Amino acid sequence: MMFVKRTWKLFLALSLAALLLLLGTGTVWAQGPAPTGEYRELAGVGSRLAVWMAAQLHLNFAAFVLAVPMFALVIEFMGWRRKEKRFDRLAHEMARLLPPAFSITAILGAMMAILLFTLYPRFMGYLTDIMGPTMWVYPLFFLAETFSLYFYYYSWNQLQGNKKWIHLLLGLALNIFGTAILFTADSWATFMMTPGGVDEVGNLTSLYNAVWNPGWMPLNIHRLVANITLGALLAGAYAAYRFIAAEREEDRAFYDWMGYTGNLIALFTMLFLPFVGYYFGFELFSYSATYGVTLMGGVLSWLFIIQAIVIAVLFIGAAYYAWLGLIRIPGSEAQRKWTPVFNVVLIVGFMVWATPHTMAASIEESTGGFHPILGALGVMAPKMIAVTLILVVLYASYLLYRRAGRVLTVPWSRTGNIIQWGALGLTAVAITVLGVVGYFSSAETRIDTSVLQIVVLMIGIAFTFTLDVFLLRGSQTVAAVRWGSMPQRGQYVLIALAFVIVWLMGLMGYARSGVRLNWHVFGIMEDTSAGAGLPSLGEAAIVITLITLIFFALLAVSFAISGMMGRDPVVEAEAEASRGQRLQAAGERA
Amino acid sequence: MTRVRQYAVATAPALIILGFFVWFANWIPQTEWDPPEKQDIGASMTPAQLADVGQTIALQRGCLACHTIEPGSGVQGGGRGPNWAGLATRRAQGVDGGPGDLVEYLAQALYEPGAYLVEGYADIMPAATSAPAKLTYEEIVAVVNYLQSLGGTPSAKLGDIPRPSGDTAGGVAATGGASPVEASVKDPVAIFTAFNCGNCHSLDPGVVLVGPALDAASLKDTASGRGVSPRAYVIESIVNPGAFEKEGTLSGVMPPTFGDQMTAGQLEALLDYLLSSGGGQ
Repeated sequence: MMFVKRTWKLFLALSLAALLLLLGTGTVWAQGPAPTGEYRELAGVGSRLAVWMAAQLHLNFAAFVLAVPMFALVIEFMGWRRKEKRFDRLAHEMARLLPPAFSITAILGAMMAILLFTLYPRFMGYLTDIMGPTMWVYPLFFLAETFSLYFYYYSWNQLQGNKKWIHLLLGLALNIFGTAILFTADSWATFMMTPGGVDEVGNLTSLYNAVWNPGWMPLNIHRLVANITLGALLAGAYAAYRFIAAEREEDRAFYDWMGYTGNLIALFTMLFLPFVGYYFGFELFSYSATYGVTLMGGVLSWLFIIQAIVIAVLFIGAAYYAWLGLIRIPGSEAQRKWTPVFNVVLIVGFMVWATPHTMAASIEESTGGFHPILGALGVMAPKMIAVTLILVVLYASYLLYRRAGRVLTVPWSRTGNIIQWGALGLTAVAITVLGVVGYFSSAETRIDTSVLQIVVLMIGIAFTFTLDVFLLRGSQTVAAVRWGSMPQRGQYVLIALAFVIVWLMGLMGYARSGVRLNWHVFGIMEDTSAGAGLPSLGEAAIVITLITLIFFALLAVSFAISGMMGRDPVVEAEAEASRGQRLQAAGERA
Repeated sequence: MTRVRQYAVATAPALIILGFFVWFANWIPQTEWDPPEKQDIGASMTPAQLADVGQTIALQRGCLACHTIEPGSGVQGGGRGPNWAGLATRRAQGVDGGPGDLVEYLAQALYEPGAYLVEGYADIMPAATSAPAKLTYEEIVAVVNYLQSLGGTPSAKLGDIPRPSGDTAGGVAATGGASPVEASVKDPVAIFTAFNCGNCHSLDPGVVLVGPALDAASLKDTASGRGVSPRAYVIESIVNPGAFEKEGTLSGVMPPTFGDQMTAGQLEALLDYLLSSGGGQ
C-alpha cells in the first residue's frame, strides 16, 4: 500500500515536472514540413532554442545522476572498510536523490531526441547513418543502468553486514554503465566537432574512428571531472537546505558534515578542471586552429571573460566556505588569520585571468592585434601564472585546514614546517619564473613551459603533502569538530555555489556547441537553418539563466520526492539508541 | 520564519549572483554572429567589383581574427597571422621557390596556406576552401582581388586562377563523376582538349603556365631526374598528380580524378601523344 502511494506521488510529481518543462519551452508545433524537408520550425520558440534548452537541461540532470553514484560508492566503501556507520548513512542519503532525478533525466533525454529528430531530420538522419550501431547499444546501457540504480538504492538496507560487498558491486555496475552511457553520448557530440572516420564528403570509412574521434577522450575526461564537481555541489546544496530546515541537533550535525563533504569533493575536483579543460581545448585547437581563434580571439572571446568571472565566484565561494568551516574547529585561530591574505591573492589572480587581450566588440572590429595595455596580461603566459598560483593558494589553505585544532608532536616539527612551507614558496617562484620565460618565448616554447608549470605544481603538492602526512603523525587534537555549528551564511554559500556551477555548465555547453558556428558537423554538414547564427552573449546569458532556474525548479521537485521517501528506519533506530545513551549518560552525571 | 521563507532567504544570494552574471553579460560588447551571406559573383564583374565583394567575404568569414591590416607595420602587424597591409607590394614577385607572381601566390596561399609559410608564423590556417570559411572558387577569386587591392591594383578575373581540385563547377577542369569525352574517343588531341589540359599546361618546350610544360623532351628529362621511366612518370602524374609535383608550380591544383575518368585506351593514346613528336613540338 505504501509502495502504491509512493508510486502515485512519483508519477504525479514527474507529470508536473514534464508539464512545467513543456510550459517553459512553449512547445507549440508548426504545421506541416518545411519546404526543403531539411528543417522544421517550432513556432513561437524556434528550433534551436527548444533543442538548446532541452539538451542543456538533460545534460544537467545526466551529470547529476552520473556523478552522485561515483562519490556515493566511494563514501560507502570508506564506511564499510572503516566500519563507520555515518559514512554509510551519508552515501545512502546521497543515493536517495537518484531515483526521481533519474526519471527526470530520462524524460528530458526523450524530449531532446524527439525535438532533434523532428526539427533537424536531415542532420539526425546523417548522424544515425554514421553512429547507428552506437545508438542501438545506447538503450541497452540505459536499461542496465536503470536496473543497477534501482537495485542499488532499494537494496541498501537488505544488503548490509556480510552482504555489503554485493551492494558495492551493484554500485560499481551502476557506475560502469553510467560511464558507458556518458562516453557513448560524448562520441556523438564530439563527432559533430571533430569528425573522424569519414571521408571528405562525409561517407563513413571507420566507425571506430568516428567514435574515437580527436575530441572524444578529452571530452570524456573533462565531463567526468566536471560532473563530479557539479554532483558534489548539488549534494552540498541539498544538505544546506536540509540543514536550514533541520529541527534536531543530530540532523543539523549530519547535514553540516554532508555539506562539508560535498564542498570538499568539489574543491578537490575543481583543482583538476582547468587542466582537463585545457586538454580538451588543446585537442580542439590541434584539430582546427580556427576553434582556438573563435573561442579565444573571435566571436566567443568575450565569453571567456564571463567564464573567468563565474569560475572566480566558484573558487572563491568554495574556498570561503572551507575557511568559514574553521569555526567548527576549536583552536583554529592561528589558521583563520590567513584567510584575508588568501582572498586577496585569489581576487588578484582572477583579475589577471579575466583580462581580455583585445577589446574588440565584434568579429568585424577585431584586427587580430592585442590591446596596448591589457595585451600584456591578456595572453596565455600571465594567465597560466595566475591560474596555477590560485591552485597553490587553494592547496595551501587546505594544508592549513588540516592543521586546524591540532598540535604537532613530532620532534622535528619546526624543521619540517620550514621545509614544507619553503618548498611551497619555491613552487610558486618556479611557476612564476616559467611563466615569465614563456611570455618572452615562441608559442611552441610557451606551451612547453605551461606544461612544466603544471608538473612543478604537482611535484610541489606531492612533496609537501607527503611531508604533511608525517608531520601530522601522532598529532594531538585540541577538541572534537563541532559539526552543526556552521553559521547560516555558510549554507547560503553552498546553495549559491550550486546555482553558479549549473550556470557555468550552461555557459560552457553554449561555448562547446557554438564554436562550430554554422556547422552541424564541422567541415562536413553545414547548418543552413534559419537559426544557424549565434545570439549575443547577453541573450545567451538570459537563456542560460532561464535553463538554470527551470533546472532548479525540477530539482526541487526531485528533492521533494526524495524527501517523501521518509527517514531511513535503520538510521532512525540507531539515532534513537544513541540519543537514549546520551540522555542516560547525562542523567548519571547529574 | 516559515519553511518557504527560510528557503527563499537562503536562495536569494544565489539569484543575486545570477542576476550579476546576466547584467555583466549584457554590459560587455555584444558579439552577435550571423552565418556568412551568399555573395552574388558574376562572370562579368570587374576586378575592382570582385575586390569589394572579397572585402565583405574576408570580414564575414573571420579572416581578421588572425590577420591585421596595419599600414606601415610590414609583415608583422601584431596578429596571429601576417599583416595584410602592403601585401601586394611585398609579394609582387610571388615567393622564392614558389609561385612567381602575386595572383598565383595569393591563390596558393588560400588553397594551401602551409605551403610557403611566412617566417615566424605557425602553420595554423586551414585551407580557405575547407571549414569554417569553405570558400567557393568564385569567392577565392574575389578575396584574391581584395588582397591585391591592399597595396596594389586588383586584376584577376574568373578563370584566371585555377580551380581547387575537386571543384566541379565551371568546367575549367572537370573532376569526378562522368568523363567529359565518350569512352570511344581515342583521338589524343580531342582528349587533351576535353580534359582542359591546355588550360594549365603548354606543349611548347620550357613554357610554364600553371603547371609544367608537357613537351616530350621536358617530360623525359624530368622522368630521368626522378629515376623513373617516362611512361611511368606521365601515367603516375595523371592518375596521382601529387606524386611528382614540380617545385615552383602550384600544389594541389590538378584534379586527382582523371585516372578514373579516362579509359585505359584513352590514357595510352594520350601517353603516346605526349611522349612522341606529336606532343613535343
